[in-house]
Amino acid sequence: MPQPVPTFGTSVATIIGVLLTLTPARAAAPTPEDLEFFEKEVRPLMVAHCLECHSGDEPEGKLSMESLAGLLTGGLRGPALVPGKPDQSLLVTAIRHNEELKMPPKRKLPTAERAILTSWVKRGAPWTNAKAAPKPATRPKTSSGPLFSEDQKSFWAFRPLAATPPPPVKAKNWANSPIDRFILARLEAAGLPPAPPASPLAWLRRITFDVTGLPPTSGEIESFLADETAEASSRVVDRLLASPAYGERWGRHWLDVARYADSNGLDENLCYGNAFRYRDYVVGAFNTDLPYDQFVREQLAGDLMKDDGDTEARLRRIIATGFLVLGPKMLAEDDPRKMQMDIIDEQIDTIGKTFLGLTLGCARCHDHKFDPIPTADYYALAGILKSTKTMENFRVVAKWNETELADRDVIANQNRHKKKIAESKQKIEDDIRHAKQILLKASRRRAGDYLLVATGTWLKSRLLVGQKPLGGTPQAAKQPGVILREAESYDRGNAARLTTGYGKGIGVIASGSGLSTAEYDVTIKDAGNFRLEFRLAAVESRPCRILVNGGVVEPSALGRTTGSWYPDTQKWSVEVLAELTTGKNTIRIDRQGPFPHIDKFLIVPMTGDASGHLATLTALASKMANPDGLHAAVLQQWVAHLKATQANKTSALSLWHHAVSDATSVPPTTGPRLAKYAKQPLPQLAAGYASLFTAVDDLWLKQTADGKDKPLADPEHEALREVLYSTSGPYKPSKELESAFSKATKEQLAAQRKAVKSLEAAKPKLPLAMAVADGSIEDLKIHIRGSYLTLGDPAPRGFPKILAGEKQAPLSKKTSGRLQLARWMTRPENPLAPRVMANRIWRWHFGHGLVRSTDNFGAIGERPTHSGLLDWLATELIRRGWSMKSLHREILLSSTFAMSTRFHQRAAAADPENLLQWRMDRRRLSAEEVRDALLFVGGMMDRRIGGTLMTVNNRAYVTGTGHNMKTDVYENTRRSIYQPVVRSALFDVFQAFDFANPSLPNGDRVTTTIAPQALFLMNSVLVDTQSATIADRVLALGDNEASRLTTLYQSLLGRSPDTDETAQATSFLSEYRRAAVEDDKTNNDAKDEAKKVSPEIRAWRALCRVLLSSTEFVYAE
Amino acid sequence: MSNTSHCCNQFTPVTNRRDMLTSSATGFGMLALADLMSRQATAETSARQDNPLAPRQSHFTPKAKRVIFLFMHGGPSHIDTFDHKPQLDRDHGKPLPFPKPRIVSGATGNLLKSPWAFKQHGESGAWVSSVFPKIAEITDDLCFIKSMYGSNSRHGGALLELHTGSDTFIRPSMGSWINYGLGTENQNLPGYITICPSLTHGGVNNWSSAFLPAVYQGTPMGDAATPAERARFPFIGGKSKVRRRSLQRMELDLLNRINRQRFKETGPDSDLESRIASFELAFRMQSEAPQLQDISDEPKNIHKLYGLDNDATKDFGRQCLMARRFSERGVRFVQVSHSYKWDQHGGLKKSLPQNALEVDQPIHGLISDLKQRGLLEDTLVLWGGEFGRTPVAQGNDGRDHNPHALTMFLAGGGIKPGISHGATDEYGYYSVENKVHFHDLHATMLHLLGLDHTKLTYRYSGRDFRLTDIYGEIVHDIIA
Repeated sequence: MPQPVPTFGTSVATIIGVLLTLTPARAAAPTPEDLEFFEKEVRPLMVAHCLECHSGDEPEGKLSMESLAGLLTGGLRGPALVPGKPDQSLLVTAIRHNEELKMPPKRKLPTAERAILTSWVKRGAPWTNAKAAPKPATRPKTSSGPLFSEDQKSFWAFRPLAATPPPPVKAKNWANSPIDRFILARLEAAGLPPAPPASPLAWLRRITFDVTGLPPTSGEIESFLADETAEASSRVVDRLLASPAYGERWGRHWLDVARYADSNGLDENLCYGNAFRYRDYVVGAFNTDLPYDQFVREQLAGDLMKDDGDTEARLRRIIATGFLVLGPKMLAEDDPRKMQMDIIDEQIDTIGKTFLGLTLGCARCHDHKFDPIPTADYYALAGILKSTKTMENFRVVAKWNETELADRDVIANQNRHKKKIAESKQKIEDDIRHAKQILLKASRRRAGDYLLVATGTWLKSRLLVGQKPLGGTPQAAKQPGVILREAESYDRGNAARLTTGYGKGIGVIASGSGLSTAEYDVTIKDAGNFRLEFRLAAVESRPCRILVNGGVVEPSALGRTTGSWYPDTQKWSVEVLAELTTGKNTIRIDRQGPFPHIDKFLIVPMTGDASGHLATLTALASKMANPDGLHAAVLQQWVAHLKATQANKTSALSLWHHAVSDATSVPPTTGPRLAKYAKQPLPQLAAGYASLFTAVDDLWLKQTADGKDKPLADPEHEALREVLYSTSGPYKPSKELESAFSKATKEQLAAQRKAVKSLEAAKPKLPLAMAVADGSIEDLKIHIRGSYLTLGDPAPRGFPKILAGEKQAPLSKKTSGRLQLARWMTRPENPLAPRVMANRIWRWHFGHGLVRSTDNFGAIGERPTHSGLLDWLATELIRRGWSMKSLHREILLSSTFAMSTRFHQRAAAADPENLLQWRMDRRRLSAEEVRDALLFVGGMMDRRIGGTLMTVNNRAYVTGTGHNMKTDVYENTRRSIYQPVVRSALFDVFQAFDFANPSLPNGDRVTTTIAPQALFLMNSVLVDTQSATIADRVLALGDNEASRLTTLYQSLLGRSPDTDETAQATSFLSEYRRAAVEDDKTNNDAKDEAKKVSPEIRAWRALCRVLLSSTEFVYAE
Repeated sequence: MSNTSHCCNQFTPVTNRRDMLTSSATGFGMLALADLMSRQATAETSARQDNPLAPRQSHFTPKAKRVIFLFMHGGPSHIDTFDHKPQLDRDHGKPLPFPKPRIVSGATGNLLKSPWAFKQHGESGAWVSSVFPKIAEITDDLCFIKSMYGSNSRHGGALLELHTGSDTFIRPSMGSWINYGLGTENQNLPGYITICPSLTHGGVNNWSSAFLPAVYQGTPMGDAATPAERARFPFIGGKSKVRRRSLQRMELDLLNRINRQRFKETGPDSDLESRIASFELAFRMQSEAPQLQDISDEPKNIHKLYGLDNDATKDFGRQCLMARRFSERGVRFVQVSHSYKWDQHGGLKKSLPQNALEVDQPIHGLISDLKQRGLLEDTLVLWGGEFGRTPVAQGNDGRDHNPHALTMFLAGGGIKPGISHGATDEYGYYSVENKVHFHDLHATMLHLLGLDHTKLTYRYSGRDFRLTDIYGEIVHDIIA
């Protein structure tokens, strides 16, 4: 049964009681009041809300709340309680419900109950009959046995590479490479024959797409079919591997794994404007056959690799580390530590899957459920990445790191230049500070004058408070002393007078051009204070300046909005107080830009200054020497200070406030010096303040000249000094003071700023790469359940223990350890790096891996179908100096690769998934190949290599509610690998044809067969354009239909049509022509472009589209 | 194949090549396959399993068959709409008497009362502020959850959390999970359509299938920058040219002949057969989808009911009407977005009523229309944004993001009508009573659709994933 909940009233009283009797934390022994509080208030709460779960033999989260010791010892998340420290107590964190840990889970305790528990902790957590000392920590002990079981250690993927000789086979003539013997042996064992070799044309088309992503040209087909030498195939392989298109095709495979994209995508979709350099790096690495181990090391730690003086290599390696930066990130995350740990998590997940085929990311919150990856290993890697600078900052929106790419000399120059700019800026700052000091020093000497003038200004502004406009009342203008002016009746100015459309006789002023102005001459009978009321309409705020007799009385008036520009929303408002002299005065309104629609204004004499203080102050001020020497900026600060201190009884100005407020109360007590003036009239008080300010300033200057900056000994002096020297008072060195600088100083500053600007402009803009660098080096602790708020044991930086061993030398405190990680990863003793890559290469040649789960070699992943072959390939990769081209060559020239896709009834029944590789799998071209092939056969492909096609700036938004890039950004003829990859708005052609999700590492794209692919082929602009181009080309050949058809088939499919096909196409063309003529008769759509093209041409285009959509074109055999 | 109910282990990943090839991907793939299977008499015995979008039996009898999600992007203020806080009125201008959250998105000042008057409506006596006069008329059909909460204080994270359950990683969206769990009823239309979605704050990640097969991802129709009137499916309309039907039919006939002749070379190949079927489906789809988008066949009173006769409401009204038309034809999950307008850091007094005006009549129209057609019974309608807003002021006319409390409402589909569930504290800053996390909402939605959220799993990267991760409790109190 829940205990009765204390009412809010009693609990507040209790809390106040607690606060009053608050004893120091961890008081030696709880007082009887403490214990009564615990028993009456705290324990019932715990019983009602906590003990159901947190008690008994197996309390939730291993936290028992039955005893103080239980709370002090804590559970899985550590101690629940730090007596006296609510902010450090998990118990309090949990009941606040502001963090991830929320208790009770479903219902937040009422405010009063939370307050009770919080104050109980603050009070030192008194507990009846508590045993003072907590039990020693009973953290679940790490098991004393070995970290990993024998089963785990002997899991196939972690075993060293086995030296596996190719097995013997019966069919002696079939094998062309050791690879073939591995394949054939299994087939023979299963009693299945390998498929017969593919036809030369099918083989050439297959291998050309496979290596370059493009179809063979007619010339290439012709010369290969004519080459009857034994080296024909190997010549093709060499030619293809030497083509730059190889890097474009195979680099793209790698980009799938590296989750490459040109934008962030996750939340704030900013442009990764420099990502393309990483893409170009990858293409280059494949084309130059960069050894794979080096390729890995460069991507993980290129910035830390030894500089051998080769600038180009050094920069290339910096670019390579873009791999670590390219991931999708939550750039708008209010919790910067969470943001950082999430980014690290994404890096670990990608590194694990990409290079090791391990799902390391699973060990963030708990030990990996299936693989031998303890959480400690995760945080050992996380420490390496925490010590790495991936981000420039973790603000909202955060910035990823970019590194300038240039020769060291250029960078040194650049840095000198930057330093110079920084120094110049510093000099400007110093000069400004100095000028302000001079200005303030002089202004302090006139504190009395400022007090007078500022008080006058302030009183004037107060006159308007609560004043209702008179304008709305009838006959307002008839009242004594009131003057009405129609706005459009101005005497000088340029404002447009609008007199139509507003109703009869109504006119307003609106825009002028540039600086809008309107000036009015008014004649005043008796000088005094007047308020100006305006009637206006405005949809948007258009604040104006109001000047009287040349002086600004209000820099920002008339700025309100009324709802529309029309007469029905014309409203009156009191805008400014102006002091007008007897006789002629000039009132001016001006604004840079258009005015609000002003109809008229009233000048109303003010009667509010009953006390006459304002008059007195004005009279006093008029007698001061050099009134023009007061600075408006300082004056404004004085007014602000008066406003801020008016209710402050302890301010040095309290007596002054009392005097000008007409209060009848007893004057506030001040020091003896000011007290002398307490009952004297205002002028004497003003003079008193003035002389005291000067005296105090003298005192202070003298004291500081002696090097002492302690407060003045006398409190009254000190209070007055505060007014003169406080950084929040009237003499604060604000930015606005610059307006009071002398003309010479202003000119000098302007010149300095101009110089800095040109220095900045002269700074050469260096290219940037998304890249990492080492940051501040630190080891992490285990984050219990993945949260940085609950830390566990330290996890020193290191490598996964199942592979690297349990005893690892600690990593240096001087470096993140990335380079060591990269070196460890590519040691020949690490079996995973070569196995995973050899398997990827196989996957990209055959459409499936020997381990089909290419990115997961763990327990949940698939087992190798040919483990001997996999280890042979991995060993060969290392033995051949990690040359991928060499491995390609071996595979491409094998009989296995040369098999046809021929269907075999018995094999298909026995092994429907082709696990034994009894034939080559038929392959639908990838998204990029489909688009590239279309452009290629249309003869329109732009073969330039590298660079970026992004049309938005680096770090700018690529998508908002819609797409910020030009809609025609993809309408180019560059190869598909160069098309922008926008993470949250993928190119629709890519999306339709199974492009890999660019946010997740993926070495095994799926292939689907869906309607959007058909719609693309039927309706898209690209297919349309290519069909038109090809049709035109064929029609230009002359009018022999048979030879036209031969050319068409040759250029699209690489072969001639047979007689049936020729007949079929011929009859299609004639039927289509006839139908088109018929259709035109009923087609009344004048805008239909089809009608502008002859039925003959349309028929040929239709035939082209059909062939481009055909299975033969879209698949490789 | 029998249509037995499945449990989690039957949701095996499609990893073998045949499965991959026959599964359809992307957008409105809603493929060929179902269609193919119905016609392909000789299909392998596993054909049914091979069609990932075939309607699947739920774990238990469902109360709802489909979902319409009315998404108010930006974070509508609960305390100015449905969560009435008299104490906030009283303490206007005073400081918040308890701590603000440790993580906040911006600086805020003192308590700011709602500028709008609240009244109770209907028999249920639900509180609604004056900004929603039309929704106020139908409160007896609605169930308000006033104690919703999430954990991310920024739009991007909060949108992802609302749509996918994770504010950190790329995860499948709720619509994808539902399509994965139940398939779709109309094989000629996408099973999951999102009308005019915003490409910002995660964009496609909010309707993506992530690691689920791509066939389950949402198909966008237009985007937030496109007026609903011009929203189109990819490759149908827009720049793409749909040719004269009779001529295109000739092309398809020839293509079919050529592709079938190909079997002489290749031998039997189900991938190539499904490819032929996919062209036929595409041909039907490109004539049917535009017909559905063309609402001229709806009577005048329906146009009026959805607010199509009014400039302020016609865009969102068209989206709502489209949602009904899609739902009516068996689309499993339809999302309608009122895009990124509800972010009142300032200008609360001006913008909030304008936003409310734009959706008030259309939502009223949609729910009443579903009801009069008998569709509301098994259509679950959900209304809400990614977070609520603070009761403390930002500037003097605005409120900051507040993931600790928001109000959502549901209707139809097995929901108890005319109730209000849960509560926030006296100012509406934190949800305190019967708190409902997005995970709980997801669990409840799946439950209403007849799916057990703990059993609807997919194995990826060495782990069985769920929409609700390791969380989620069904809110039984709101279920009829």
